[in-house]
Amino acid sequence: MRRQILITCLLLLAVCGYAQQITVSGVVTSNSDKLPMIGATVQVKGTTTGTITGLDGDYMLANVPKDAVLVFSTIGFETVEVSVNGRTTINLVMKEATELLDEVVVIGYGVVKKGDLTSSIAAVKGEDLASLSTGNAMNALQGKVSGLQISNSGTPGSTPRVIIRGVSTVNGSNPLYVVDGMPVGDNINFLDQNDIESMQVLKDASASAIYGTRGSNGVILITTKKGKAGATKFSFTASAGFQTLEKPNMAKASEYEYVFKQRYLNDSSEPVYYSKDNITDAEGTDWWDATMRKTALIHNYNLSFSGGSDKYTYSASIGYFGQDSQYKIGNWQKLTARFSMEYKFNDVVKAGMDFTPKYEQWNDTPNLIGSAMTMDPTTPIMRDQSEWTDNEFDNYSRSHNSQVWNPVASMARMNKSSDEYGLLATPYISIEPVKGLIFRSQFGLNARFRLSDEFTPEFFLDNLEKLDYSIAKRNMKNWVDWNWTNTLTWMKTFNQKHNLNLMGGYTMERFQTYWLEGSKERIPTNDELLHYVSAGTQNPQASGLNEYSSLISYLGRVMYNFNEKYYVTASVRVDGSSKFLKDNKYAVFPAASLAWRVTGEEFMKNQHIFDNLKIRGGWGRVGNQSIDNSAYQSTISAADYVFGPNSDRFIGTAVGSIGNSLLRWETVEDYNIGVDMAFLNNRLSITAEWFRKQSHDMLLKKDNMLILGYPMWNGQMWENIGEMEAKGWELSVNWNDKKGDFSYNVGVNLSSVKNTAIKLNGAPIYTQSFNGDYIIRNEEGCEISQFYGYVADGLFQNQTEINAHTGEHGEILQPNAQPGDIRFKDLNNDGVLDDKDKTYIGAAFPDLMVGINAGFSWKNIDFMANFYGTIGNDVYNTTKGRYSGAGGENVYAGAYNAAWHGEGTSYDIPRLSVNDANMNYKRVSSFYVEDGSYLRCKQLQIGYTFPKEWTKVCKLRLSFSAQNPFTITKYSGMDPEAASTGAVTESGVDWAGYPNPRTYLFGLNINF
Amino acid sequence: MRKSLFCTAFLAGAFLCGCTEESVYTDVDGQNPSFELTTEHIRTLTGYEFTMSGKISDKDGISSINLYCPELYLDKTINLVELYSEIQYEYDLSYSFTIPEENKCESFKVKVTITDLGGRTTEGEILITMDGDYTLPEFTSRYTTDIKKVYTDADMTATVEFSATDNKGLQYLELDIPELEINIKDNCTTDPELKEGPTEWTFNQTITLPTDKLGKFKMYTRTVDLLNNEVVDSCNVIISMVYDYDKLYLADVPENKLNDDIFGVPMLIDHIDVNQYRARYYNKDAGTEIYFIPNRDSFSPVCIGADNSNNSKLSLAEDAQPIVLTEANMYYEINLNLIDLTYSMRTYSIDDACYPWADNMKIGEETLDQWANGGNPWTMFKIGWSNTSPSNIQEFTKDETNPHLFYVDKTFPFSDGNNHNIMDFNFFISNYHSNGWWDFISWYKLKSLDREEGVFARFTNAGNGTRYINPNYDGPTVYDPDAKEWTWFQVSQPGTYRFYFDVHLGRGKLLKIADSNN
Repeated sequence: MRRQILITCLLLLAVCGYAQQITVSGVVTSNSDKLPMIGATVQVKGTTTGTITGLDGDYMLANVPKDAVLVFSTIGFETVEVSVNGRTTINLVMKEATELLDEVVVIGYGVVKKGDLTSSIAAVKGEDLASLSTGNAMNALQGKVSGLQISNSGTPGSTPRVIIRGVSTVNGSNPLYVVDGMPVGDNINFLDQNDIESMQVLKDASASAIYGTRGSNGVILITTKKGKAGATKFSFTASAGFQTLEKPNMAKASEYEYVFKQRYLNDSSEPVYYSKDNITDAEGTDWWDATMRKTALIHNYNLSFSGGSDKYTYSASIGYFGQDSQYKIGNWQKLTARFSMEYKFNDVVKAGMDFTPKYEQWNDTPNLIGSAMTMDPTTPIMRDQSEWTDNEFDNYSRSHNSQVWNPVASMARMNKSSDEYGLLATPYISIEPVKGLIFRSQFGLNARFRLSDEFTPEFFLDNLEKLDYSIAKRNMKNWVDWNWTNTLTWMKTFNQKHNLNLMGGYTMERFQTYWLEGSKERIPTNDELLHYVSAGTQNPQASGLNEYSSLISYLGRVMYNFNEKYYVTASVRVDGSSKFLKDNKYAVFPAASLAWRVTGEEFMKNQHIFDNLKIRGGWGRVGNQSIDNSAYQSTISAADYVFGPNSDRFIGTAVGSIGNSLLRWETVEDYNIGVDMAFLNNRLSITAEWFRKQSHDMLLKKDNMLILGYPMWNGQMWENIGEMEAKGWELSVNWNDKKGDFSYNVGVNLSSVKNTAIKLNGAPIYTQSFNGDYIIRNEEGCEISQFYGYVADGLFQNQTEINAHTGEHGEILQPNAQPGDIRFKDLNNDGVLDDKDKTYIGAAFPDLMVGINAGFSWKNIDFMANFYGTIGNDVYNTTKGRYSGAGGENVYAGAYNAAWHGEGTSYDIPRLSVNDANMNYKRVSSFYVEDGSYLRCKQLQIGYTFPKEWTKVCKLRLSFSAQNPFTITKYSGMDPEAASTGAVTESGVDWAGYPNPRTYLFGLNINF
Repeated sequence: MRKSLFCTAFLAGAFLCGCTEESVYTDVDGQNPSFELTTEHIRTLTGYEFTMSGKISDKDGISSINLYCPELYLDKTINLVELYSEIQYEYDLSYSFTIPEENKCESFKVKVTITDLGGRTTEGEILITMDGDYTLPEFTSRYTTDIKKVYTDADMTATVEFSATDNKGLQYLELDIPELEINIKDNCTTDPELKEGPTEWTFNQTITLPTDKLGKFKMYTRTVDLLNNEVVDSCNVIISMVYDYDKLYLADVPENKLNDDIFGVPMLIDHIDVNQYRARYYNKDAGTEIYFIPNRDSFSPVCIGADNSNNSKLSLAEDAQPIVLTEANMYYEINLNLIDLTYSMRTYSIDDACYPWADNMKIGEETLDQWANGGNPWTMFKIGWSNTSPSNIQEFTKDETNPHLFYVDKTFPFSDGNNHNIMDFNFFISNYHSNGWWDFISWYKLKSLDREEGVFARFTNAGNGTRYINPNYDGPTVYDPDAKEWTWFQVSQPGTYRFYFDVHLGRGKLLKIADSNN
């Protein structure tokens, strides 16, 4: 009976099942390009029933049970399972498997799941970098990573200054760039940012210690795009637009004349003025317009394709970037290409190669903004034609009233260009003999060949603006670096809870530089056909040198986590460098980090606040060896001696440098504590970190004792004597959400770091000379790059204020002061205004760095905005001197009214004075110091993706973007960001360099 | 950011600390500050600086002093709270101010306001008038010659006369010898308010010097005008036991041998100050007896020797004993003080004696930098005398015992090559130089001394001498080429003469050592 019932039931079920089978159809598209997926597999789970999608991505599958589960899969995309639930139409958007990269982070010599990170590593996807059109991908990173300070000028081809988590050494602040496992120095100009798959910033030593001697400033790992299995895909990206600089408002000829004369009259002197008197406002030369373009072209193109099968993958691209300088001469252009391929021989062996050739070309951008602003507007560009000579360069005018060189003439004479060819090649082989055990060997070659030519013609404008003999120079410089990296990695999970990852490795690196330079003078004519060294007739000069250094390293790392709750990572690297002698050649750089995923604990299972809570801590030691290759040895150099009663010169040799055989590495010890949090279904994520880096044995040059008899100018020696500290915090908050067709994200990152020189060479290091003094003083126990000078305490408004500005007993502090001059504080109240009254009057490094990134998309429209700013930094604005008219230079428009010209007329800009006896403009003082805080809109971009009904098989997107459209700042100079560049001990002085231009671009993306 | 943080902290601090501020400045006596001006009337001139001064005290603590005079554009506040880290209860005001050149007013009033920490004030006023005097009086005749007296002089008086003028009037002229308690003030005016006085005045007074005080005393002659501007001259009053001889000689031979030399005996010693002499002497033989005499030819009228009853003192008496130099081959330095007739003596060895030439130069060795080029080549260093050039010197022989002592013999008459028999010799002393280059190191007579005194001063003219001379040498040296000359002597009897020259002492002597064979 029981058996009959069972059989009956089975029959009924069979009948029901047959009766519930349906036919399911639909279209499968890709999430990235919204195009139909061809050849994707659609299979009923647990059966052999299945089909593949057609040319339009469509499929039809008959006899599918209503409650079946369909499995959609294809190479390169995530496999998706969908319950039918009686539906007859199931359209699916498949996600590219590459998006798994979101979950994987590249670390030194390996990868790790993002959630398993124990160190401070920030990852940025390539698509976030590609939106900004720039010649250097690092510019696109500005504001996107907390703790990363990037400053740049607008000069085409310039390399931005990148500082990760402050400064721990005076020997260079640039991080180490590693492209596809190959260290490439400190400039990644050769990369097209469209080719970048992702960037990882290793911020703390527990992450960067695996790079040993060169990790002290942090490491930036760059992974380029690789081929993916699947049909070949093409992509074309283009952006073109123009850049523009805000024209400074300088005085016209009539105001210039008035100010010029008033400077003399205010000092009761007769004006020494050489131009036409009483000129009208309309007259005069607009030197800015004569020197600069109103708009400068910038354009960028990239064509790429990629594809592959389960045996091989390939990817290639070719790109062009061109940028004109804002001057009427000067540009930079580069042609880059990239080829990447990988072949899988079998399940054990695969090999591949990345091949990145490039060509760059510069026509040098002049540095004439200062001249264009200060050149006397009463001077015409050219002399009267009656005075012209056969040498066209003699026909320009000499400034009538100042010593400023004619900027148009300087531009006409400028003839300097460079061509650079480069190749980065990284072939590799990977062998996995046992599941989880991978041996990888990669050889990298990074070669660059640069040829620079310069011709300066003979010219004569007057005795102070001339070159007696023309000169032609050629410089050839080659860099050939290679690197051989071998690693053995073993990954294993025990008992489904113990996850172990072991890595050991050995690397060899060699860096080689060769250069040769030659010049000759007195080329017979200035004719372009003779702009060669061989055309010179006198004073042949030649010099050249080879330089080498090398590194041998052993490295190892252990990563372990228990049940993805408790993590521990430890690494060690032993580096041997050619820069040090036997006893100090090798150094060990250990690191360790711990993490605890609190949300993985049982007691957190039932809470609904945190989606993720992880606490991290790390410690590590990294090194720095950025010194001369031969710092350990004494050298002799060519030198002239003078002998005898006739003071005859004899060619000889003299001590060139003093070596120190006891030199060793700089070591930076780093502590990092961080917490990662996610809330509200991972829509809100927060990361906060605190760090402290302290360098020991910092390499500094120190004077030898005079008793040793070394020449004073070459008597310094490298010694391990310094210490610095960088301490700070970072906070990163990101919000992502989607409401229907509207998705948006907002991210804010804040970071603060304080850089302190704990120990230097016993004496302050002064930098940035200014009127025989120095602006910056780096002193032990103090923050670096601080301005040091007198405190300007407003202006004397009348004689009573001058008379009151005395010492305790009536000592006159500023004997030459007149109403309208600056009052300088006698800080030590000793009745004398001297060096002892100087103090720190400003700091170049900011208290806070801010990055704000926002984006939204609605249907086919997308919008993004990036902001970057610094708060609390000061700029020493030397361009404030443009109010003085010193030396007969031109002044800002309105300078007369801006300058003090009667009681109450100004409290900042001192009176006009030809002698400046009170040294208003000659002293290093807080008069020049301004708040350099700014918040700059780095980019606004709006894009529109055309509906695929219109574009059929391809995806077409148009965009418009504005780069640097506006800046919120109180700073009165041209660009607070450009003013913040410079070496770490000499930052923050604005010498009127090339500002960051506003850029407007139209963009086009086609994918098919 | 930094500013806002600071402001926040400041406001918080001000809020939290507001109550304690009052407690810091709790009144002590609640009285106004006391203020006493040094003078309430300052006389100055346009373009000159004057100083306002006074004493201020307040038991509560002084906060500030304000000096206010709108006509002078003066409104200065001396904020003691800012200037000093501790509260000032007493304060010496001293504030200088310069009357502007363009001033036209004759007088000003500066209002002085003192404020204590309790906010109480005291005011004062200083009158500034433009009738000051910043011109110093001037001496029209001075008295600057030292007064020298021997205590045995019958006349111990001296008449001092000097005159002065002043643009506004003289107050007094004064003679002052503090150590002798002599002070004579000659008042020029009888006006007690010192508003008027003569513009010229002469001081003429005779003073009597004591006989019971020996020594050198400072004498000041001072002129003071009506506004206490003063000028001062000074000279010395020397009361000694003997006269201050211009020259004093060391005689190491008996009186009857004083004239046996051609020059150099007795030996002139150094006159280093009034009545102060220093003799340096090379003692060849033990037991040498010496005297000091002011007369080169005779022991009379004065011969200074050791006191018969007290050997550590000097004596001019007839029974004075010779000073005996007991150590042979030793240099002696004897310091004589003729004010109180005392002397001191020290010896130093030949090795400790300083050469006049550079340390690297050795007589008889190739150590002379022949072309002043660092020794390319080095040539033989030898010295001698010559009447022509350094290439033609008659080389000196070095004494066997004392390397500082040289000698050379010369026989007179000698022929000049033209059958002239020469009995005189005009010479200088120099290093040898093959090409006759002059003045590497040489010795000359000083024009200021007699040739009989045998003093030879070192001279060099090569590279300021640093290459050839020893900078530590403190014997006779001449740097001015115009202050030196060759020396000349004449002998009356034919014979062989020996010239001794001590390069350490810079002294030479010429003695006849043999009669002529002719």
